[in-house]
Amino acid sequence: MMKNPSALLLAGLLALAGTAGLAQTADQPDMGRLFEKVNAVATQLQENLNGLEASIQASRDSIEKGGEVLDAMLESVRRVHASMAEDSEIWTELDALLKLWEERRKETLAKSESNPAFQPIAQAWQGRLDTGRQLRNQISTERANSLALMRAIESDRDIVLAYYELGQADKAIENLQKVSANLTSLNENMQVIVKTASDVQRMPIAQ
Amino acid sequence: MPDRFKPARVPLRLGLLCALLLSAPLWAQEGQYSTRNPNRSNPTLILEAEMSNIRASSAQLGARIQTAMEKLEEVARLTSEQEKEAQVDSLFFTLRDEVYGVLNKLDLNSDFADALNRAKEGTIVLKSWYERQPPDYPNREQSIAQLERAIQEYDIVEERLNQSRALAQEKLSTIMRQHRVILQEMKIGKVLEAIAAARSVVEGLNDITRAMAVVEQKTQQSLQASIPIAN
Repeated sequence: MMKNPSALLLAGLLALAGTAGLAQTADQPDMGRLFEKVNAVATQLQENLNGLEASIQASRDSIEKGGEVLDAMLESVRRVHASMAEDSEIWTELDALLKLWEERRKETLAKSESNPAFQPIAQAWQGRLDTGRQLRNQISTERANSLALMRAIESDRDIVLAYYELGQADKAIENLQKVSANLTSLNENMQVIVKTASDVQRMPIAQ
Repeated sequence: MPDRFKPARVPLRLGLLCALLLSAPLWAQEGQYSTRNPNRSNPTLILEAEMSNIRASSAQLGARIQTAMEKLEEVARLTSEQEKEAQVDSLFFTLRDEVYGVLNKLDLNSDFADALNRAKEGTIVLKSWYERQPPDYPNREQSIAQLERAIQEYDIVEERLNQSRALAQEKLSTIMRQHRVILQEMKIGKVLEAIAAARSVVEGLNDITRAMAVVEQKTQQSLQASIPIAN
């Protein structure tokens, strides 16, 4: 759930702006709800990163702590990946939204056949669809990056722990920091996704 | 040394993994995603099949454009004003439906869009695998560079697809707008002007077939680049 009150307020306002003029029902896909889900994943990832460097340094003398840090990082990446899998709520809701918008654009285009005043509205739907597709592409890339990182952590785990056992904590920590850098990059991409999701919401369609 | 650290086994494991990857470059994707549609299990095959659908749709549009141009020649030779109007009216409706069909093919909720995503995701995961290999791993650098190119090509396909969709929508609007204008011109006797304008609209639709050809070409390039170099 969203923990930042200002983000919650922003999401609320954007949801209102984004859905103005559209009759929403509980079953309909909703951009405000999607934004909240995306933002929750980003907030969680950001929280997981806070204090990570301190935990890495604190693990210097203990293989158990090193293993815990590695497992925590793996869990963070797993959560990001699971939240964006093809059967995730985020992905299915986004697909449903894009489908709905494509339908609306077609309906508006059909209306513009008899009334040209509908043409700019069809154009606005096209603009929203373009940004929505950009969001879809970014999420798909994040999904792949998180899967690649999961595999990297899993495959390097034994090596990192072996450095602890050999008494070469510097080498182990160097490896943990590499994973941490990848996690930071995943987090930066997540922030871009949140921004695009917010941009999609900001595009009102005049009815 | 603990059991979990057995360096001697690493090259063997890498060799096995590599063999798997080379025999099925998109293996990296298997089992990671839900299968809403079981036919989507191999993105490469789907992309190829979808490309042939898009090619067919483009060819059909090309044929309609050709027929429409011939029809306009015939219309110009007709003597009955009413008949001319009726023919132009019907021609515009046919073209409109054709472009709607193209737009449906290019829209997002299609197997093509899904397969494109999955092919790109598989390439990202594969590139990351090569990046984790030791520097002396055969063709490591070339494979990474090639897979990076493939990822960029997939992004270009995505961009071109968006442009084609926008273009198809723009042409639909032009057809609708000019349909009204042209019928109006015919009613007030400006038949030659009306036919010239109709010809221009029809010719403009070639932009869509050209854009679709670029999408197809770029998809082929991406598919070729996403196959790793054999060792």
